[in-house]
Order: sequence, then C-alpha cells, then structure tokens
Amino acid sequence: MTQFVQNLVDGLGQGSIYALLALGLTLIFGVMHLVNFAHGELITVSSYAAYALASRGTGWGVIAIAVIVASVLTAVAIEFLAFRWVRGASEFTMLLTSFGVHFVVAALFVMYVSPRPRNIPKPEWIFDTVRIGGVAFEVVDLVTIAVTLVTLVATGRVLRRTMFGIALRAAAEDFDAARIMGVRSNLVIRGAFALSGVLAGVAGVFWLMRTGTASPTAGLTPLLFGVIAAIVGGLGSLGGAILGGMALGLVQVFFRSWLPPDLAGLTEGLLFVLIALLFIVRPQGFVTVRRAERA
Amino acid sequence: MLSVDGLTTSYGSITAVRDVSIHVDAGEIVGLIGPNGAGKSTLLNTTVGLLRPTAGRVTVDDRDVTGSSPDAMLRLGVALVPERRRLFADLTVVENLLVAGITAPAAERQRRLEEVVELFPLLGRRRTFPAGYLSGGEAQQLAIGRALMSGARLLLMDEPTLGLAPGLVDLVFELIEDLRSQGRTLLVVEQNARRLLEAADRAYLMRTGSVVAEGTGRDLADRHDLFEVYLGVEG
Repeated sequence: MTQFVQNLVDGLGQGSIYALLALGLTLIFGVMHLVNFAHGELITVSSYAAYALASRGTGWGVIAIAVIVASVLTAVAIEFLAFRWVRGASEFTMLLTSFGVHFVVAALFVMYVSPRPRNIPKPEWIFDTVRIGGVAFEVVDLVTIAVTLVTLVATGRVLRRTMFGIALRAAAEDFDAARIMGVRSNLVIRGAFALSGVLAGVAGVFWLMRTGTASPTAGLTPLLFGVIAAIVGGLGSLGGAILGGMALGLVQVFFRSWLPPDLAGLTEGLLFVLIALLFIVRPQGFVTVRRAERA
Repeated sequence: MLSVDGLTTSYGSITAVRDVSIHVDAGEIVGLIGPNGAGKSTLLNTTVGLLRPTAGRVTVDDRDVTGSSPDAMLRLGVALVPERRRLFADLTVVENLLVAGITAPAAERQRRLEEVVELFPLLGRRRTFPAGYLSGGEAQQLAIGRALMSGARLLLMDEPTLGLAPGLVDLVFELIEDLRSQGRTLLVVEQNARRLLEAADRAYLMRTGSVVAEGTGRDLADRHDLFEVYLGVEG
C-alpha cells in the first residue's frame, strides 16, 4: 500500500511534466494543425540558460524564472522565424519544418557551445523526502504536482476569462470562422506559442532539476513523451493532454516498480506496446476532438 | 458603400468567380441568388478577405480594400455571417458573442452584448450554454447576433435560412427587414430565391462564377425564363 501511494505521487510528478508539455503541444496543434517536434527546443535552450546562470552561482529561484522566460522567447522566436512561413501549408510540410528547427537548434549548440553535455547543479532539496502518514514522499514530486496544478488552473482561467483565451479556443475549433469574427491570425498564433512556452518553461524547470543536464538534445526525451501524451489524450483536446500526460507518467513509474530489476530496461518498450494497444481500441485517443474544415 | 469590380477568385486551377462586378448602396437589401456552385459563397468570402482574389478590386466607401484581412474589413464595418453559421460549438453563447466583438473596445463590446441579448431574449436565457447544444433557430439567432457584435454596418449573409424550419425562415426574413430599418445594409445569399427576391431591393443572379442577370427584386422574380433555366424551379 505504502509502495502504491509512493508510486502514485511519483507518477503524477513525472506525469505533470508530460502534461504541461502535452498541453502546449495540443494548443499549437489546435490553432495551426502542427505537431510541433521543435517543442523540445524550448527545454534545450532553457537548459543552457539554466547552465549559464548556475555556473555563476545563481540560485534555483532565479534560474526557474530565467528558464520560463527563455522558453517563452524561444517559442515566439521559432514561430516568427520558422512556422509563420509555412502557415497554411500541408501538415506534412509543417511537421518537416519542426524537425528542421530541432536539428538546426541542436547543431547551433554543438557548433557554438559544445557537443558534450554540461552539468547543472541540482537544488539541495531534490532528494529530500517528507513523511506524511507513514509514507515517504519526495519533495520534488510534491512541488512539481503543486506547481503544475497552479499552472493548469491559471491556464484554465486565461483560456476561459480573457479575450485572448476565448479567441484561442475559438480559433482552435474553427480557425477560419474565428478570422471571420475578427480574430487576428498572427496574434492568436503568437499567443498560443507564448502560452505553450510558459507551460514548457514550467515543465523545463522540473525536468532540469531532475536531470541536471544541459545538452544539445536535452529536450528530446521530454518532447517525445509530451508528443505521445498529447496524442494519447486526443490531439487538440486540452483536458485530454493533461490526462494523457498523467497517465503516461503513472504507467511509466508503475511499470518500473513492478518489473523485476533485470527487466526494468523494458519499461519504455512495454509502455509503447500499451500505447499501441490503446490506439487499436481508441484510435482517436482518450478524448474525441471535433474539427472544422479549412477554406 | 460596397463595390466589387471585375473580381476573379480561383482555387488552384478552378476559377470559382470570374470577372464579377456588383455594388451595394447604403441602406439596401441586395440579394444574390443562383444554383449550387455558382460562386456565391466564394464571392462573399473573397469580399471579406477570407480568400485572396486573383484579379479585381473591392472598395468600401471608395477606399480600395482588395486583399484586406477579415479583421480589417470588420473594422471598416463589413461582417460576414458565414454559411452553415460556423458557431463555436464548444464555446458558450456569451463566449461566441464576445469573440465576435473582439475588434471593439471592452466597454463597447459589453454594451453590444447586452444589446444583442435584449434583441434575442432566447439567447439571454442560454448565456452559459455551449453553442453546440442550441436548436436551429437559436443557433441562427446567435449567428446573426455575432454579426451585430462586430458593430457592422454592412452584413454579408450566406444562406441564413439553410436548414431552418419554415416558421424560422419567416423569422430570419423579419430580422433582415428589422436590421435594415435600423440603418444597416445587407447583402444576402439565399437558396430560397423567391423569398429573397420579395425582400430584396435589388438582386444579382449568378451562374458558374459569373453574374448573368441583375435588376430589382421584382424584375428578377418576374423573369420566369431565368428561374427555369438557372434555378431549376417552376416559375
């Protein structure tokens, strides 16, 4: 029982990171029909911002803010420099563009920084545990879950209470109809990227705290899980993305815990088998999304 | 007020609208009729900037606005009520209205919202309803309500009675008259040609991308030959 509760919290902590990334991906997919494989670059760029600050002895409080700012700026820059030019192109063209952005960013860090990973000192409390009701929880999991909850609630408020949020949801449902109503494509798409940057920034803070690594491909693993979470949840569905992320984190942690130690390496492999099975039963993911045709 | 000159719009190699010229004067109800595929919707969509013309000019109050974006057209007071309404099904009634008022300052948007809700009390009772759950009549009221939220002086309506029960069709035509008496100008596309010609001051008949006849609503309604040849209905 104790083990189960520990795994649950551990899985939700891990899943929070995936959920935040998946939510950003699904927001962008909603307005652009782009599966943004360059979303991991937000974490890659942020990881070097964190490294630069950490090597000057800056504390994690400031690093966290810098990571989020770097992530937002990177998101907006990528939209402006790359995706704006292929807007309205086929989904395949946009997909290839996002791969291109990924390789260009990775190459820039290899060429101008170093191909070797850099170490970011983890916060001292990263391995601390607290005992609640006889169960030991890792502080980092509890903090991740709490901050994610606050971020999701705040995102929900932005999406429901602000004109930007309402316009974004309208554009995600029917982009052309939103344009007919006077929603400006540039603003709503740039806003979607900025918001996805905030979400990836928060995810990035916890990812970097856990991995303590800046590298040209630092964003690749979280990106992969974020994309899978978004697709599992039903691409385009906000609630689905959160659900998908949490489910992914939980399954990952429980597999790792249940598998005999010498088979633990199969965790990811089994995870993908499970996802394949899910798609046989529910090809649309957890949540079915209505989509309007574009003119 | 609105003038379209020599407009041509193509989708790839298909020309949907060919060298069309129409004009709408302030305070008029102008009808646009024609069989399916005549290019009526394409003409409206190009006029508001949703599609780019390959040739021709669009002017509003003698200002060249060819190729302007839909939000720029809204700021000039030209709004489209799109075909099949295109409501945001997952957004509430109020959210649908607010989005449609996005080009207005916040206070003005709120004022118009109250105005629209007053005009359509049914919508007022459904404020927090997702638009996807509205009945056909309510949905059409919301679609027109959205166009009013933009504060538009000129409404381009694409098949406002499509899929509505006969009683509701009457309601829509009453509403069109009401809007005109409030000083708005309307360009209306309708499949219900007879009905539209009764309401319209002037009308254009389109066929395979071109305007093939124009005149007062009564003139066109009396042209039995047109009805048989182009509209396939008994004259």
